[in-house]
Amino acid sequence: MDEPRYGGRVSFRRRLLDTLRAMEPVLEEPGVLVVGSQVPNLLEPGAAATLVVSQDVDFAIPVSCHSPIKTALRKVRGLQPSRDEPSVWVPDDRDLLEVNFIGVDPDLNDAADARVLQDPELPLLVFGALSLIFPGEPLEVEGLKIPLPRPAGLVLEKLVTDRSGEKGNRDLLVALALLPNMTDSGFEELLVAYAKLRPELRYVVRSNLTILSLMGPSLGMPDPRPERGRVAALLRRFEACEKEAL
Amino acid sequence: MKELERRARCVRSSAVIRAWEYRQRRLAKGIWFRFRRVLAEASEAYAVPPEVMDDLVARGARLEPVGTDFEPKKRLVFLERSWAEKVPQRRAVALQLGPELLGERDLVLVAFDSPSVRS
Repeated sequence: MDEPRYGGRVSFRRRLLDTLRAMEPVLEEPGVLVVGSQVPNLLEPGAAATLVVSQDVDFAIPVSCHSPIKTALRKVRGLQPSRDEPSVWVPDDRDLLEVNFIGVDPDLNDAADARVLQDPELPLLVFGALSLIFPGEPLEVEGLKIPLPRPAGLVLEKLVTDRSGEKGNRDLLVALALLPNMTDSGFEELLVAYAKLRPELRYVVRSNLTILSLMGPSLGMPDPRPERGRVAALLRRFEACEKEAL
Repeated sequence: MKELERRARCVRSSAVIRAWEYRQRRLAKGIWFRFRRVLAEASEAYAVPPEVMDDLVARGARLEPVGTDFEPKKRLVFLERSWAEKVPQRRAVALQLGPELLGERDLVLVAFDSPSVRS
């Protein structure tokens, strides 16, 4: 398989998988999930990682598991906490990716809220929107078990979060990249989770979908134009939820 | 830790702004969402000269209400594909946010054919 290199010595796929392997002690902790923009890369056949999304990997850490995860982090080799921001672990060499640790707290169930878990060793920015994410089937690649979220929650998390600029556009394309991986029951799950959001957050979701619908192609990302019909259909299904709520 | 606190404040500030935007959704602030929503339903868009749009409206094409919220007003109509294909002087416009699409005053739109979220 030809693997994209993005100017580096090692393919991006290799860097992603090697980073996850280096973080295996953390991945083995119950409740930890790989989230964010690398998930569609991992869900490509053979975890091909052809999308140019970012140069880091997000790990969602349940705040209830904070202490054992700190213990697991002491076993990690090849990365270390950034001096400026210890919730980011930086690689010792450029063949690995940065790892961002972000917090999940089911008690912070307002998708628009965020708070900081203060800790000198592993502080976490805890995002309410991450409460929309639930564990899915782990992915096994090259003998490495990667805990991933169910796509529905991840799609909704991407759509409900404030998006602006190039990073925001790429995040919306990540949501788009996840849609083909969703089953009928996944879409039902997405609609149920959507219906539970506050009205203004449902509005943000629909607004972001309209932006996604009218985006042009970006280098290294899925072309949104052939998917516009799928996006329009999803908008209609969300709007049907609104009518049912009246 | 200061950076994390700053980002948490940004998230909470964004939430306040979004709540305000939501309350404004039926007013001027909501116009862009309503405009994008109409365009999201279109599989194709064609710019047409004003006199062509005048004729389409006279023949029963229904103007999308959001167009009247703009100043100068925009005229957007959905036509069946078979009708749209016969509209004279039409010029295809890419359905992408940008000066080309946003600058057009008279747009003929063709809706998706019963799109499926899984197809």
